[in-house]
Parts: sequence; C-alpha cells; structure tokens
Amino acid sequence: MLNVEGVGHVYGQHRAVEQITFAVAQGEVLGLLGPNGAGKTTTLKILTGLIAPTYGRVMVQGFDMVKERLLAQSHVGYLPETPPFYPHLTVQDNLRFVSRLRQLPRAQQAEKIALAAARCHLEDVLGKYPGRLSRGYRQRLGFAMALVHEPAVLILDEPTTGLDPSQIQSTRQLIRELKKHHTLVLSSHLLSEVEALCDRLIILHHGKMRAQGTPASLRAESRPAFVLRVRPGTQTGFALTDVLNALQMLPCVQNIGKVQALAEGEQVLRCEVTQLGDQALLVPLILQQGWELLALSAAHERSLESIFLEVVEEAS
Amino acid sequence: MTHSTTKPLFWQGVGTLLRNELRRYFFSSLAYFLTAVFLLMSGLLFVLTLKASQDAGMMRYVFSNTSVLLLLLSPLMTMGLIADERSQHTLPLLLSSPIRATQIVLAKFVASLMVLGFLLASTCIYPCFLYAVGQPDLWPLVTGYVGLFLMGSVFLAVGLWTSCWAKNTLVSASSAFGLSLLWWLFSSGAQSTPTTQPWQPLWRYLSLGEHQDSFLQGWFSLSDSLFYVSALGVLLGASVIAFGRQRELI
Repeated sequence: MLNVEGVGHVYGQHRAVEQITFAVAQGEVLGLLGPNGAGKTTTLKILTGLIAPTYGRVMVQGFDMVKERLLAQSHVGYLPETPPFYPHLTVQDNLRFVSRLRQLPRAQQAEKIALAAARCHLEDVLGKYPGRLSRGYRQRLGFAMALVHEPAVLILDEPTTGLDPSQIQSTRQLIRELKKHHTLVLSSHLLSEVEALCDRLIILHHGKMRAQGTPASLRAESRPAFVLRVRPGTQTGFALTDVLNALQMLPCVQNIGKVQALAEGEQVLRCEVTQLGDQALLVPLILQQGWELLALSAAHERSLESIFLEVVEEAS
Repeated sequence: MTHSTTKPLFWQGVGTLLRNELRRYFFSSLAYFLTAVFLLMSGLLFVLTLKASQDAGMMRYVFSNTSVLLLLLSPLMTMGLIADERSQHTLPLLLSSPIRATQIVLAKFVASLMVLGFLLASTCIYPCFLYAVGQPDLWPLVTGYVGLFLMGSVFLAVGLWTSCWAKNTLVSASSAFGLSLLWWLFSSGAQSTPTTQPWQPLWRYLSLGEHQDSFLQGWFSLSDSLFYVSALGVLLGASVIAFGRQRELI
C-alpha cells in the first residue's frame, strides 16, 4: 500500500529528515509522533509528493512518488495542518473543483461529492462559503476535499490542531469512521490522540526515527518499574541522598524518578530496573542503609507519554 | 474503492484551473475596481486625443497611451495569481494533486489574458464612435489592437513570473511594475545611445516599445510578433521553474 524506503530530505545544510523507513498496510492507521521540528510535516509532504526526497523512495500502490508522481498522487489524499479551501467558492463548489482537479469522470462527480459531504457531515452547509463556517466545519471541509476522490491513502497533518474539545471529539470520531475505508497516516504531537486513533506509531526526533511499534509493544519494550515506600530507621545515620546514591550504584537500576515526601519522614520513589526480578536486589540495599522498606509494588502500566519523553530525552 | 490509473489529461486540468481562476478574479472587488479605472482612464485618453488630433489615424496615439495604462495596471492584475494561493494556504492542495506546474502556470496566464482581452474589447466602443462620425481605416485599428494585446501579454507574463517567487502581493506588484518599466525604458536607452555604439541595435531590438511601431503604423510584422511570443515563452518557462521551487518553500 505505502512503502517508504530510506527517505531523507536536506534543506541547504539542514537535514530535515534522515533514513526514514516504514511500510503501512491496507486499512492500517499509522501515527507520526514527535515534538515540534521533529520532521513530521516534512515526512508527510514527501509522502504526498509536495516535495521530492533528497534520497530514498516512496511507493504508493506500486507507483514511485518521484518517477510516477501524477499516478502516485492520484491515490493519495492530503489534509494539511491548515485546511485548504477557496473562499470564493461555496463548500459544494470547492468539492466540485477538487473532483475535477482529480479528474473524476463527470458522471460520477455529483455522487462522489454527495458521498464525501455525507461522510464528513457537511450536508447542511453545502451552499455556504467556507469563510463563514466555524473552524470545525472548515476542518471537515478539508477532510471532504482530501477524500472526495476516494484515495487509498489519506494523510492528515495535525488533524485536530486549533479545535475546541467538542470539535476534537467529533474529528476523532470522523477519523475512526475513515479507518474503515482508507489507509491513514497522521501526525500529531498529542500523545492521547495517537494512542486513541493509531494501530501503530513512529516516534520522530531531530528528523530521525527513534522508535516504532504498536502502543502496546512500545510499553512492553519499556523498562519495568517499581514504587518503593521507605522511611529512615531509628538507628540509621544515612540520609535519603545516601540511599538514592546507593541505589544508583546498582547496575540493574536504570532510572530513579522524582521522590515524593509523605508524612513522618516516609518517602515514595519510583525506580526503573533492567528486568523483572531485579527488584529483589533493591531490598537488602535499602536495609543495609538502615532504612525500612514499608512497601514495594509494581508501578502502574507506563503511559505513552513517559515512553515518548524517555525516547526523546535519550535522543537528546 | 475506485482508483484511476490512467494518465490525467493535461488540458482538462488546465480548464479546471482556468475556470477557478476566472471565478477567483471576478469574486474580488479588485477586478471591478481595475476595470472601472481602466475604462475611465482609456475613455479620458480617447477624448483628450480626439480633441488634440482630428486626423483619421488618431487611434494610434490612443493605443500608445493605453499601453502605458496597461503597464501601470497589469501588475495589479497579476500580483495575486500565485501569491494568493500562498496566502490562502491552497498551494498544498494544488501541489498534492496530480497536475503539473506547467498546467497551473498556463491556466493562470490564460485567465489573465482573458481579462486583458475583456478590458481591450470594452474599448472597442471608441473605434465604433469614429466610424459613426468618419471613415477611419480598419486595418490600423486591427493591428493596433493586436500590438496592444501582445504588449499587454508580456506585462502580464512579467507579473506572473514575479508572483511565482514573491512572498506577498505587494512585492509581486512592485517588482512586476519595476521590471516592466525598465524594459519599456530600453527604447529611451536606445534613442539616447549614439548610433555608432555597437550595442545600440541590441538596445533597440530588446526594447518593448520599438516593436509596437509597426502595429501602430498599420502593418502586421511577423518579426515583431515573434519578439513578443519569444519573450512570452521565456517568461512562462521562468515562471514554471520559479513555481516548481515553491515545493521547497511551502
């Protein structure tokens, strides 16, 4: 369906994206996740044929996006971050313009426009000018213009940016409906959005792929973590910093999170270890420092946010 | 799901873009303002020329003055051709569609030519008036209009080219006006250069105004027509290249 093979793009001296490789199967939803400037939009522009990659190859339905651009582009629909529309055309005329630009057979145009309008819930505003519509309706018009020719691949750049919470909900619902008919690639810096909508995600940072997989597999790949509740024993001469330093000396300890102080000297700390079972090594060390271990439990399943931050911090 | 795998038709795409461009142009108040200014000024020029000169060939002076009017107004007609697409964020829509830069540039240029044709056609009332009161020769009128149309086309092509690379309409319009004026002033350069200078014939040949003389005198010059057509070819080619670079800038 969509194959991206070792793609990179260089603007002058700046390497916007480097060695991007992935494939998207039919009916799959892929999310590109990354902070601002990570290379998400550049990657999407390469996928749509807006810009040619400096090296590498993009294949859509078997067509090369550089060598057979017109054929490859006929299978792609694109919704940029700012929905494109002509203010001098009504919603219906904007859709008609795109259907003609996409060379749809004249006999099918009315039917396709009606279908796209129905799927994006635009029936009530077909005769209106887009400039007089709300941001949410304009976004839906952008969706309809991207899918009026029923492309195999739909590419959405930050599809919920600038929308209010109810518009975000309705846009996400629309994307879920589109999943039934199209292969989707979307970019977002909203982790909740990617988690809610995507089957698979790629984390980009500084133009490079840092991680990829399903949200579940990324969580599985992340390190196990435990929450420890400790307090100083009556005989101890060691401070909390001594305990933390001792823990960090252990080879199996990968990271110690922010320490939270409770009443009566109790402290709660989150400790990531290399693998399950390593937590047993923590217990004697804490006791050796003269501290009491009140509780040790597995941390809740990690959020995608913490995985994302971890990947980005590692890359930085 | 249906997918077209046939090569999209070139002229169908140009036609779609052309219709959209004409609708965009006549949707804006600028179009009506420019038309009003052109009709007012060309009418004024006709009346003033008629008062000053009663000879049958007075229309040649009207054509000559109208070409100055086109020099002034054409940058305003073309400044938004590509720059508006950029400001309205519709460039990604065009560039992600299966159409070529050549189709876009051609459609924009033909649309502006049609507007020019409409403006010039609206001045046909002046020759009609002359026919009502006298017996002017038809042929100088025809060649005069052809020459004016060719020169106006070059002004529009300059404006289209500047619109392709300028970041906003103001830069586009001022650059187009400056370049067109410079080109126009080549004739002054040619006149002020001694005929003994080796580059004097080159100045003269490159001047836009010099190639109008044959049309104004009532004969259709193939070499002068070829000059304008060649200039159009170069400018449209440069526009396609400049527009192609937009892909890197959006």
